[in-house]
Amino acid sequence: MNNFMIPENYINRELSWLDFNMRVLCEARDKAHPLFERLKFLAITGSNLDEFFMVRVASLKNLAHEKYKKKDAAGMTAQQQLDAISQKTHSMSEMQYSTYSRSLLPALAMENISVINREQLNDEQRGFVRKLFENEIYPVLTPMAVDSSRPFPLIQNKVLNICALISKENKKAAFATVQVPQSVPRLIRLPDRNDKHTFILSEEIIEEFMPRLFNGFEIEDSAVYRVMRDADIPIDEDDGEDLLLEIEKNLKKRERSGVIRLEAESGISKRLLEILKKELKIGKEDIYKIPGPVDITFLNKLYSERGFSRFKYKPFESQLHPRLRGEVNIFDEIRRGDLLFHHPYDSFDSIVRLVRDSAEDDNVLAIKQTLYRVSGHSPIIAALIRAAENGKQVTVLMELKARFDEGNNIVWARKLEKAGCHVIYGLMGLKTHSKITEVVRRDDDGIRRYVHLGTGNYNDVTAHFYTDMGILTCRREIGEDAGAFFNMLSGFCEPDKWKRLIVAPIWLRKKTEEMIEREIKNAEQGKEARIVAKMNSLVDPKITALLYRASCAGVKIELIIRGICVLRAGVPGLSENIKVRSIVGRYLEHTRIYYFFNGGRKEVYCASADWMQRNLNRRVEIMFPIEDEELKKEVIGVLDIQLADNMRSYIQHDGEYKKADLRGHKKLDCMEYFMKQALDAAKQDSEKKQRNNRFVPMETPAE
Amino acid sequence: MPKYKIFSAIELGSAAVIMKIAQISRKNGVEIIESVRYNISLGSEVYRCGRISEETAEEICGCLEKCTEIMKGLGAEEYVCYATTAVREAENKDYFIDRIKIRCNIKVRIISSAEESFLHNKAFALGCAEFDEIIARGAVIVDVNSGNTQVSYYDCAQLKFSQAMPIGSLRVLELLGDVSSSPIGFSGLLEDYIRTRVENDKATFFKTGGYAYIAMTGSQAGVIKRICGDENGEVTDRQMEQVYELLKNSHPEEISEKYGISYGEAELLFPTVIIYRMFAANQCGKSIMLQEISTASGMCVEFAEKNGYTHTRHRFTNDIISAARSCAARFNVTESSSRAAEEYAEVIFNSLSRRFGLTKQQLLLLKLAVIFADTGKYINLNGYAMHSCRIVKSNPILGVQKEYLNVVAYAVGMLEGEIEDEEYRYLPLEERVLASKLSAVLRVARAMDVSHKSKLDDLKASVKDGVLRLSADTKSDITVEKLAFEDAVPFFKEVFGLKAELTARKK
Repeated sequence: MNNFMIPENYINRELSWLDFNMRVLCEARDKAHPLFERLKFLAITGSNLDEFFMVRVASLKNLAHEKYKKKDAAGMTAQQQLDAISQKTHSMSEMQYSTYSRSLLPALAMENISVINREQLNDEQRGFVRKLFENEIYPVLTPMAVDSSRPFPLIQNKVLNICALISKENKKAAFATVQVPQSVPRLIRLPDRNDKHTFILSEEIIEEFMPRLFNGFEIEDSAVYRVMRDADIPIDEDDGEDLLLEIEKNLKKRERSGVIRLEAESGISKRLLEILKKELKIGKEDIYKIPGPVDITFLNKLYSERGFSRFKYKPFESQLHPRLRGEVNIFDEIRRGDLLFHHPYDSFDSIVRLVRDSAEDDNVLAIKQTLYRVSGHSPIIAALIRAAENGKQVTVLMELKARFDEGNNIVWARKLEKAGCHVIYGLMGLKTHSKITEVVRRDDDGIRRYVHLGTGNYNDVTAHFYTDMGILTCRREIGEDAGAFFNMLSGFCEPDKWKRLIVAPIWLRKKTEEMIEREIKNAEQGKEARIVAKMNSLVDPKITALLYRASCAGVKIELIIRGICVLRAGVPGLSENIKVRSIVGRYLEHTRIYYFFNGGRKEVYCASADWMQRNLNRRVEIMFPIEDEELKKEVIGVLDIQLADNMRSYIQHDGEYKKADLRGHKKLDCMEYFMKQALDAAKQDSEKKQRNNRFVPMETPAE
Repeated sequence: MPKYKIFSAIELGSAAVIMKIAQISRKNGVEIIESVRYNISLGSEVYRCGRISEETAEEICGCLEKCTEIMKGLGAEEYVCYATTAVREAENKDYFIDRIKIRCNIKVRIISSAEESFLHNKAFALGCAEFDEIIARGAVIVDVNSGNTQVSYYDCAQLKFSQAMPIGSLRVLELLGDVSSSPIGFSGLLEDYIRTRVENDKATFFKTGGYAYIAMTGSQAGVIKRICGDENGEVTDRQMEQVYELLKNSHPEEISEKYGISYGEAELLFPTVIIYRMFAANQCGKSIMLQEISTASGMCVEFAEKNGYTHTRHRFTNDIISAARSCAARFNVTESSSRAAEEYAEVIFNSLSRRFGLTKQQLLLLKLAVIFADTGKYINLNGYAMHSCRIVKSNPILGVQKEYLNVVAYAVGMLEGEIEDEEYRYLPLEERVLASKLSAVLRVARAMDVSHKSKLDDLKASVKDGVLRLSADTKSDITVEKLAFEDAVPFFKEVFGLKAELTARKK
């Protein structure tokens, strides 16, 4: 295996991620998408980059600062990676804004939609913004000047600001800054006529009326800017007596951590830029001059504006699972057989229903669940609280260390505890990433465990635009493993033997390697050997090397990897039997499916884990088998459709991604396919019910 | 009887707190639906320092609180919590148990090693589908635990003997842990010590051969099974040898990493295998059944039996009688010598049971008293009763609680008159009264077979008008028996308030 673990065989993970973001940017440029969906894609590239900088780049900067010389799997040091990232992100930024200004703005203009700057205001609009400024914006502004008695203020992370050089009566110009208030909507709709829809950004309005903020001063220059700070601050779990408090402290620390990126309007003066550079202590390579509105995520606000549904995808309503339609008892249905869910095509409501019904069912004794990222008004949390109020034993593992959701999760943890739920914060040093629910119920014939296992979070909001898979089952072995899993999280020993569930960091890696080795052995013996794996990221060098070895042995490997992929596909002598594709489209592909041919005794698993070191070594994850033969076929069918997709797929060859070749092939958009499949099935079901319910009157009897 | 019951068994062991929750039903017997283990070195502390530390006590309380949560979550209707060797030997056990009661609302009972072994045999039965078959054909069970090793021998579906040795894997490690160096190395020292303690003792009761099966049980058996690479749980003595060699030449850390077990568990493997090996040698290729068992599993079986949900054909209460007979036999008391007295005692007891609220459990104690009554004569014919009393107290009988053992001891002790034992005075009133009742019945029954010739047949007993009327058929002259009977009656009358009359019908 070591033969394969050489730098040339690996793609740097950060650069691979940037390639993924580039694919999303390509979707923004794709005129086949409805206009507003393109805006959304562009906004996503912005928020993606923000997170990338705050976490990945920050981490590399810390390493470089410590003069850490160790190279990654692709043979790059931290500094080398930073240099490469800087180059790539600068050009990505240019492409983002050229997409915005040269492609999207004109397309919007053709539809009488425009986002204007302050120079383009007409008289009526100017009057409108003046009034708005005086009444709503001005009262909440806090301009700050910097001089010998007033030091440079703390600039908040990710928040827009406007800096200015202000001067008075031949005195030296001073630096001043004002934060664009978050309480004011970023995107403001202006009055207009003739079916025109005109918008302006709030910072434009503030800049227009800057002199009001500094009476008696002349505004020599001004510019919008934004800073990004290091969000990758480790939490001291050992010394912290209370993890909750420790995380709250950590959140506060983030606001004061080092600046790793500065974005400023491209027209910013040299002087202003120098001041910012000096005060924020950043280098030239970390400065991004933006030829457009700073922070492009405002396009999400435009997307959300009413009245533009014709520029969006036709809404798709997730369909109830066919076996859970109508007045059925969910527990009875699960006893009849496992249920498979493919979200968002199958509605996530069924999963919420499991928790809701459990809360009200007299025979339910206990509910246990792991929560990683939940929605703002989570119906699942509400159901858990209700269950606790109804006297059920409710245990929730709330992972407080879910990055950027820590604050939310703390709120939920406190609410659940107040309601009488037992909240566990997971294991020291490990992030609990598994998605599992266990309901213990007293059935007539004994205690039974009803279990949900999934690849996605218990988040009813993201369940509408992430693809994920899950099962509902009451198989005994899975139930016992689920019980053992939660006991382990509570501090008890792991069971002597896991019956069905494969858990990281205990044995998921080992099992995965064993299954790949098994295919290798089969291939070496001349038998058919195949692996199809779908995940968000492939980063683990050991697994990658094993896949190379498998390819060389003759195993046919097809990987559907949405994001980061460090493996180079299709390289002769290395990976000619490996095909890699990335599916990017309307939904965020989030499902993790692992299929091993196993000499014909096919094994199919779903998991909460990708093939990354963090999943296999440092997180609590679950991989679960799909045991029902019909459901297994269904999952394999999903993979087949995705492998046949040529509309949403980018095919990778030796690290380069290209859109799938349509020539001579029938078009297949896997997401459209699954949506249609779900709607057709629901329609058939509805027609069948109507036929069953139809009353056919008797004919008049013949005389 | 409800369709099923949920029962929780909690074991405070020397190396771990173990809880098993069982679903018990007529249809499926005992099904373990939850099993949790919390490793804690309670035994290490106690064997080393004699006390349970504050930190350990707190940790155990925290663990038990989580156990109660799990119990609620599975709807466990009843529970039992037993503490074994480590707690039993801790000087501060009383406060420790009290703290658990107050903090966790769990009542803990400390069981004797004899009770623990009895439960282990039941646990073995639970995990062995062919239990009834193997004990019919002859089986030896070697149960190695942290504090003790128990050897039981079954044949013709009966327990022939059961012997406890105060040598366990953790106890040995703690005892030798402070020995910094030995010319033969720690492994050699361990082996030498165990051999010294086991070999000689073993010779007094263990015979190689004469049985079809040998089973090795205990908390380490599961790991040893894995090391042998045999998931079925049957290994040969050769495989056991290979495991021995591996453990002898490996550091516990290597074993811990290789087999994914804690360092503490890895340390216990070598002494366990040394003990197993002493019984597994010379098995002539016979399979050795390896089964990991816990007291908690046995507790589930016990609960099932008590509540009428039977699991095996074998009646474990018979094992208690067998174990008692086996112990008595060492003092030259044979089964045949006490059989008639046992029969008579049972008839008398049954006639009194309803009127005086006597239970089946107490009948069992009476039978044990009959079996041990003459053991003291092995020591000295004069004052034999108190010798018998001491023999009973110092020989824990498989499955019998210490409190009940005291009752049996003093029941036999009273055969020759009042007891002047200091300890007797401090027995709870109920136990003293019970001992007196059993002794009164015992005296009458023994009187009726004073010649050991079983002269009375078809004994019938009834209580009417303040008199216990006993009638039996006989072919022989029973003058001697009648004289002995008259001697026994006054005490009987004092205890029960009933006169006793014996009528013999000539056949």
